[in-house]
Amino acid sequence: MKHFDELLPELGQIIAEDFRDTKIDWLTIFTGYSQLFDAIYDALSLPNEAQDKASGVLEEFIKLRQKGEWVIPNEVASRIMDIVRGYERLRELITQMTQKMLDSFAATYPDLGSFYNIFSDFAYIMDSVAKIFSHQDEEAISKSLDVLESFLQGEKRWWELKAELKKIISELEESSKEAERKFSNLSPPPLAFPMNG
Amino acid sequence: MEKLEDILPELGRIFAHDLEKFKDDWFDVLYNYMAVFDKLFYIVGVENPDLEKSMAIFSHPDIDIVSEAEEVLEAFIQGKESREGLKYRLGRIVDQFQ
Repeated sequence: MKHFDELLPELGQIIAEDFRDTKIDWLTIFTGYSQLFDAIYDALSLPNEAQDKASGVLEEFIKLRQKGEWVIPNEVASRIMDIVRGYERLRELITQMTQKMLDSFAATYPDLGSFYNIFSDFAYIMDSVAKIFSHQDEEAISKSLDVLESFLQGEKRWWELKAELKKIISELEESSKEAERKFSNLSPPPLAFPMNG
Repeated sequence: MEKLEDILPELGRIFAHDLEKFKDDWFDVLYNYMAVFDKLFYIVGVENPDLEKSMAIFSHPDIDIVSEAEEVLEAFIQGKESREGLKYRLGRIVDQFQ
């Protein structure tokens, strides 16, 4: 996977080509790429995991454009912004979550049994959130953050939160298994031209 | 030397602070702390079914091990030990009696 510092010069070339292309009007180029640059700038303030995801989206865009396919930069910008917004919400919710854990620790201390139960629940939830964030599915990520938020607002109990996160993970695992099955069932595409043609 | 009950709130504060910084390999930071808490629970005897649930944190029979863990935690809080180092050294202590 390439990082932003390798991708940006390649992006620069694509932008230069777009400017040379008289079929595209300048305003489209300006607005599209300025949105994309804003999104990249926001992604750079995020942890490495999030930056890798965002640079993955940019890399995909560059590859498609290098193959001659037309993809509008606004679309890429909005995909990167979805990633940025997901991590920004995560930062806010995890801060609240950590505080809740520390408060619960303080309230039950020195009862080690409660201490351990609180920690196990917290660890389970964090582990689930990390698993969900490791997938590229922004919809599942946003669903998991909604559940976390409703827990923090007191609308859900610990066990409900755990059960709902578990359900999101099993759905993600099921859909990635499904994708793998589809992929392995595909026969290799016929060659367009004979090899020794 | 400070007791574990004085050290733990401080550890909690550093933990919350590191998570709020939200930089670098963020999930790794989270996992390091989770591993640290997990090992601490083991060291103070929570995993031991013979011990009462409501037992005070220092009543673990193997007081040497608790003191060793306290030293490591203190070094971490004073900035003399890294997060990775804390996890590793607590892991070593757990290995001694596993």
